[in-house]
Amino acid sequence: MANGGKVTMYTDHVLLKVAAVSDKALEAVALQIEAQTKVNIQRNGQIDTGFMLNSTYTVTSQGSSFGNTNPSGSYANRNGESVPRKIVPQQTLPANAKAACVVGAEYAIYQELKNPFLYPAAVDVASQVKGTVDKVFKAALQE
Amino acid sequence: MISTDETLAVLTLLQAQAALTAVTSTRIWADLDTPPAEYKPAQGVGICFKVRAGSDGNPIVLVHPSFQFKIYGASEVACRAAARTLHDNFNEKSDANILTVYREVMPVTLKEPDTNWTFALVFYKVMVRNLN
Repeated sequence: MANGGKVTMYTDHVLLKVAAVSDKALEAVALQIEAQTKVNIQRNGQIDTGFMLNSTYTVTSQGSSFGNTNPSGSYANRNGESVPRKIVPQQTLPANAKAACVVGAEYAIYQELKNPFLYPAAVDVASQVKGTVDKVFKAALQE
Repeated sequence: MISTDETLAVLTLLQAQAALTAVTSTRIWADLDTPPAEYKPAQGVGICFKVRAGSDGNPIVLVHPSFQFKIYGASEVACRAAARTLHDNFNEKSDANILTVYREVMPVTLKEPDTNWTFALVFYKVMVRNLN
């Protein structure tokens, strides 16, 4: 360079950093969808035992919050009756996905069809995704 | 500005598809989760559809609702065949109110927990013209 300075390009390092931050951003988006899904279930009045709400978890390439869900078993409903509830086996990421939000109660699809909670959560969060991603990238750049 | 009724727009488009109504007759029901009480799968294919969520375009000359379709029939084969007929006569179709339609998720077959009726479940995103 004209003033004798030297610029070293660490392109591979930058790419690695961006890839890692991208994964982190997608994880943040999935966690937001999980949170909004739980809000929607409550708002829709779809809580009987609370099992479905507590069967919602996030899966990323780094792991899963499946361990925080309630196991299959009997749960007390709003009438105080004990009713059976079942969660489907822990889901893994599809090959083309970086993160996923899962509602594991086996009857969740029927509740979703009656009164959607998961898809609207995804739509809501998608509309805010730029802000979420920006926050993650800014935090990473400051590290 | 008068907003387009997106459900009515979809119903109108579907009812204009002769190959589809040849299969369903008048059994296309908007804004229903399950068929009316008088329906039985042995009568033939019936389709329930409704909006599940969506978003406004920017600008909102288009809106982008997502619709769920539950396609009932006498058997799984009948349901899946009807899902293909729906697809052939709905995907990428347009009219005065609808710019285009595209499938979001391939059909999956389920059973109603209450009646044990089989249905094919499929989702479509519809781009609705909002400023006619």
